[in-house]
Amino acid sequence: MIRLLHPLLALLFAPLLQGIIMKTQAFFAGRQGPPVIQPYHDLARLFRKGAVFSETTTWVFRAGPAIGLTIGILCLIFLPLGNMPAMVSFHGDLIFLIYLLSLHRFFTVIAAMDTGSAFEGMGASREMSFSALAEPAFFFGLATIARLTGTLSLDQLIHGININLWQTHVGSLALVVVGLFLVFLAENSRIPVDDPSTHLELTMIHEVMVLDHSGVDFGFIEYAAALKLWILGSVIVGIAIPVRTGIPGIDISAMCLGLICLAVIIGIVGSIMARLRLLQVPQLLVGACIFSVIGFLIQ
Amino acid sequence: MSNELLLSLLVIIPLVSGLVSQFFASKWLTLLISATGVMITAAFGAVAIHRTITQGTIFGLSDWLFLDPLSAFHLAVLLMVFGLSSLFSIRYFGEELEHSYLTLSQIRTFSGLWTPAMAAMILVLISNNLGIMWVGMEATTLLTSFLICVHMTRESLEAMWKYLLICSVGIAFAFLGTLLLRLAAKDLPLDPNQALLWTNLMANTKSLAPALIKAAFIFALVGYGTKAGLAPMHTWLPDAHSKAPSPVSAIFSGFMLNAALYCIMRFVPIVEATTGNTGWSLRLLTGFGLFSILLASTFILHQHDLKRLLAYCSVEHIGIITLGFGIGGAGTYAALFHTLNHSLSKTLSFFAAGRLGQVYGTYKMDRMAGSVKISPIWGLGIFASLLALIGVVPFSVFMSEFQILKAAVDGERVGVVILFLLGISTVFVGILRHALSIAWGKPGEYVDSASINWLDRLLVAAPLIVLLVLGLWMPQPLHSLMRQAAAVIHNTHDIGDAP
Amino acid sequence: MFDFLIVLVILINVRLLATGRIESLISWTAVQGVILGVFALYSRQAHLSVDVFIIGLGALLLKGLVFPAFLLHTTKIVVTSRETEPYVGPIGSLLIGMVALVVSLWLGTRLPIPGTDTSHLLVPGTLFSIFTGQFLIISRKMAISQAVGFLVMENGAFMIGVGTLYYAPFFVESGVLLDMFLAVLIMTVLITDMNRAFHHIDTHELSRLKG
Repeated sequence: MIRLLHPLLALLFAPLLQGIIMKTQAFFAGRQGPPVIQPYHDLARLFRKGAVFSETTTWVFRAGPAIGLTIGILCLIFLPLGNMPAMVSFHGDLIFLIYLLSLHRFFTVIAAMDTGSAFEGMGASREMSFSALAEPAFFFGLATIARLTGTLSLDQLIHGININLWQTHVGSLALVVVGLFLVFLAENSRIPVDDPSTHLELTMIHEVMVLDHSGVDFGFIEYAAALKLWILGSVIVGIAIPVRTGIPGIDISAMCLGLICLAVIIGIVGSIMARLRLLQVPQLLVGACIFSVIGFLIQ
Repeated sequence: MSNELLLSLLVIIPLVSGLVSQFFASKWLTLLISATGVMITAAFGAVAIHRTITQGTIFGLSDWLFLDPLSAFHLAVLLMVFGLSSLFSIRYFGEELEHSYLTLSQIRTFSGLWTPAMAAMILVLISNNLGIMWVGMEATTLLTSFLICVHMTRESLEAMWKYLLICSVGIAFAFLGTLLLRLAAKDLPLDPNQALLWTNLMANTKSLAPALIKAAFIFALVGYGTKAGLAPMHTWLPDAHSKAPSPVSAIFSGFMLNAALYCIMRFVPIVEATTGNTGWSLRLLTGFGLFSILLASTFILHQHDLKRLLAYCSVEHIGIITLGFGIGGAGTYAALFHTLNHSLSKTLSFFAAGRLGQVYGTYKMDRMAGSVKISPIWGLGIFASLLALIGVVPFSVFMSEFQILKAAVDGERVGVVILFLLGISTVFVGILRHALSIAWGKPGEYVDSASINWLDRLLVAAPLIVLLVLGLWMPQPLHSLMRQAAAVIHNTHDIGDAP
Repeated sequence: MFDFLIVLVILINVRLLATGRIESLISWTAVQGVILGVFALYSRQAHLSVDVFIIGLGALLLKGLVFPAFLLHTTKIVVTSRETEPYVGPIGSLLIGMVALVVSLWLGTRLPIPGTDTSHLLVPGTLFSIFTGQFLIISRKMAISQAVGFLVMENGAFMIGVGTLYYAPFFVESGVLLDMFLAVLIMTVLITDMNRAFHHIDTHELSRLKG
């Protein structure tokens, strides 16, 4: 039963994180901002609408969002949250998870290419080139933790992180957290890599790929994006917050609190920083790679 | 006078005289004060060396300063080189003063740095603490760097930048080497104030960690080796030597390189005793020595500038000395003897090159022909010193090179013997060619003959006589001092069977 | 805490390898100097006496403030272009740096320091700093960046010194700092002189002396 808890939490509260981010940004801008549950309203509105499809698109374009959401939900099955175990866990599910996320990106990109629009093709190419740098950083980050905890299963890996490990390996763990956080910003199209709220096509990366989607499909995409935020967020929080008391109440609330803090931090970063020039994004991601690699090397 | 005071004065007097020289508005007086400071220091130094010979190693300042036979021998060489060079600086800069080439501030720069540089080198020699030895060596680099560009020209600035940067980097390596040595002694039950003392480290070699000691030696060898001009870290040397004023070139070649080698030789007995006398460090020295000789000999063939030729010749001779140390046994003694011979002959050759350069207005060898006709004293000086440098009988350089060769033959090091002979014969041919034309060639018509006074005669005669005498007869005190110094490096108390 | 500070030093080295701007080169060296000063004080806190404190504070002020101030001042006087004009670009430098880091870590395992109270990152961190300094000197054309490289090298040696020895004689340490001070002073004066004589400080063009 407890194994079902995390996927349920994620499905229910993933959009809430986006709401918190928006609220934080509004607070820093001195606005009241939309309510925290605004993403739920948006989703409900989108699900009520019908979709419009361009004549040039094929089934690839229509299938993209649904497959994307399915993969997002599939990821949740393998994802632990702190001491809370994942539904399914096996040796090497770590790598499986990373490839699921790549698959998600693949379908987003291929759906964008299917429209035949120059803008979306451009967004797709940017997305792919940046992810080529983000993925090694992510891999090395998780490999570092895997080496420290001696396991390749995400469940045991997150479970194996505790206060003692942080005390003995503060350097490499801190580096990994920073590296993963940068990857997290890039993968979730957040400032300073990308700005989800802009609608200037030339500068966008992720949003430009989903311009042609509408109605239910766009709702799927938005929901999948919220899930992705949760998925990567829970990995980071699981590493960064070494609360492993064994008492479910404390553990779960610590993790949830961690996720909320993460959302607030993203909001703050988004408020105080400007978007980087496109040319600088690879440098940031190379930086993330270096953080992870050094973390891997020095333990 | 107590040993403590004596040793401290050796550093204090030059510092003070450097300071005092800054307060006088007369150019001549400034130069003279500097030279006087050197002479007074030399007198005290002679007393200290005498005490070491008669009483054995002397200590001061809770053992931080000391003078054992090895450092006493080097101190003697230093005092000789500095004494001669100070006299020469009066003559050399005096000539420029008469033509008003030099400003007061340039003279002040020279005097203010000349004696403190001497103090720094003496500090290197008399400090028992390897950390202070390092500080002295780095101070030497810094103090001498501005001596290179007393005449502020583009070339001298370029040479100074290379010198400063390359040597500073080298010295940083040596610092790491010193630290690693200290780390190897970390767990010894020593007072931290005394733990970096060379005598303490030597007394505790049994309990040092060999891996760290080896790493320390490699860093020290590369670091101090850079300062000593061992190939391939010698790249600063030809530039700095050729662009510096001649008295400065003379102390560079005549002693500063030896001071750096001395630092390496302080490391060698520690390494050898720790690693069980396997000769590991000596093999490294042999390699660097041979490489320096061979590299320098190829470069000597292509030189057109007299001072650059002499600079590469210094690389070669430092290589020979290092090779001698590396062969060990009788080679160590021979290397020490060669140190003395090389310093004397190289000092003389830089003096002569400097004065002839003033006469001809250039250091290009093809335009310096016939110097014996232009200036019999200095022409003779350059010719004789070049002959001495390539090891012509009866100069003592021949004796010491022969002893090193003999040590190598006795040790049945066939490869070493062949490469060594190849190197020095190349140098022989390369330099002799130039020496003949410089001395006896047909001089250009527009060159005036130089003015000569008693100081010129003294500066040429003194080193030459010493070189000749040492080539034929070895005085007993010098012999025993060098044997004891070799024993320090061998870490034996009995005196070896060196000649 | 030890590890953490050493990791910061290593990261700054990486940053130095990647940067092309002379100002950021200098200011990151300043940050590294401050970190090392803190490191010196922290690592010896159990043995803190007046002279140890003076040395730590002196290192912090010199490495973190005085040296960078000298260099920045010189930069303002002499520099016309703010790029360091490297022979090797930032990505290439980073890759080489990563290889060097791996080698340093490997050497660190080969060179154990006696005693158990020191961080295992100390030797690799030191070696990596030395490498970074060397690389900056070799691969950057501008004289000021070579001076920075020298400082980084010296920082590395300083780190292993204060990280392992809880007490070193005052005279030795102050002598070392004094030498450093003089070295930087002379370098900056010399750079200014060179600028006056050559109207540039591009060491690549210092090629009058050859052979």
